[in-house]
Amino acid sequence: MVVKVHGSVRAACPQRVLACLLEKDVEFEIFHVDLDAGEHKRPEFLLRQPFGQIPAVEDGDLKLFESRAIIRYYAAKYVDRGPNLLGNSLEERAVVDQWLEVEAHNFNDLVKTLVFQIVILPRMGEHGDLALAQKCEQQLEKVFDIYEQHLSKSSYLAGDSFTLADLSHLPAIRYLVNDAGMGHLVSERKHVNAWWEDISNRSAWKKLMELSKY
Amino acid sequence: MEDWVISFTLTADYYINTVPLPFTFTNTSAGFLASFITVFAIVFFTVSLSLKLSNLMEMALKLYGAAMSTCTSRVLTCLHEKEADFEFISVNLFAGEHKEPPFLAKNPFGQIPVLEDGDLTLFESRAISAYVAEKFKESGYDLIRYQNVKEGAQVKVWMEVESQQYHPAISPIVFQFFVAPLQGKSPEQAIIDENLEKLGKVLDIYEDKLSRAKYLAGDFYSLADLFHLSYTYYFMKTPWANQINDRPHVKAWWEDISSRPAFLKVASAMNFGEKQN
Repeated sequence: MVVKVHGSVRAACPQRVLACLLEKDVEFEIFHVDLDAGEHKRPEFLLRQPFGQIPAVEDGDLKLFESRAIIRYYAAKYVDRGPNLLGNSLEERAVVDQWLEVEAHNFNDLVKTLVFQIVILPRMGEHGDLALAQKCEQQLEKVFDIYEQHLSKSSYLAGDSFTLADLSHLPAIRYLVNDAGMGHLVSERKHVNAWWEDISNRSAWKKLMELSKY
Repeated sequence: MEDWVISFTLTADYYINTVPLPFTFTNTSAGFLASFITVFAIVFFTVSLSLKLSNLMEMALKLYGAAMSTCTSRVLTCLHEKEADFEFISVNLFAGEHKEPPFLAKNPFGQIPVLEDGDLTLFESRAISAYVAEKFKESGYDLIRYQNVKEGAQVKVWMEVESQQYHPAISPIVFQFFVAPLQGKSPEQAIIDENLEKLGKVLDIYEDKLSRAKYLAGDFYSLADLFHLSYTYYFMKTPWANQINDRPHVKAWWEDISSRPAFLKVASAMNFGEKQN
């Protein structure tokens, strides 16, 4: 069964899902959603995702949304296929979950706000709030310091293997490094830098970058 | 070796030597050896059993947090639903204990709660709750629909909805109303108004969802509903409780989930901001 992914291949949250499906070698088909035209706010799309956000996934009669729920579902469904993105025990899975929550609550909002102010708003021809962007940058420095300390003791966030916890960071860090001119946050930290080099060179992520045609 | 073990050994030895038990022949060296081995076996068994028991007690769950905190309450509610035994260790937030090195060793982000389960240390209340719900899936109430993959998937979706849609709108309101005054600031009405509008839109979607099913993930209470309890509980004490009360299905859902015994146990300690007599 081909998984239908509704979203834009260049948007962070669909990329989170696509990276996971590529890691697990799950066949998918992308149904592009035209955000500029407001397609995601139209009634037909709201039936798929009532909050009017991408991605939304359709797998037979199963309909899912929220990218982190989708990746948890597929990583568990195909646990025996490809790399184990979840850990080998209940305890290891809990640590993966913990770092997924860190990404969702201590990391993502800062990146989203920063990128919105210095990349998205200018693209729309508007002025971003540079003071707000700077505040986010300062807070991100502190978060990355914690990651640096942690990754000095652990090859990946949840242990010795690549898991959903690392995968979940890929789209946002790509934005920081490639679009927002914030690469220094990564490159100035030895272990964060090594970790980013490693995870962003995985074949699944490279395949996604090709699909996204940057 | 502990005193009581020595006393036990001596007592056991006395009985074996004085009571005419069929297997002891203390008037022979073989008999003496047999009784010595028997006593040794009894002592060894007792000592190792007591060590195992004390190990088990150390292996029990330890939750570090504050009883009136929203995120701690999230985990406490889950533990009660699962009827799990745990030890609660209070962290003194007002003294900044959560930002000191001993606590930072448990959670480098300096936040409560933290769960310790033997060798495992976990932070992030939603990850802790999901772990507890999975570990104790066969006891108490099934919060994750572990025997139904499709239902379980919907629980995961609405857990994320709480995390990504509901929480970002409700938590700034709760923060401004309850916490800002403690920091010597007036609540910022602009932040409250902006988030009330966001929350209203989210609750409209909830109203529609809950008109078609009793709970968020389906016709069953789940971890997804539970995740909403602690922040909403405080929100209902603000002047804007009408956001919930004006939406009939949301109101009915709230009244249902907030009256569950597991939550009532936790809510009794959620008195942040109340004047102490």
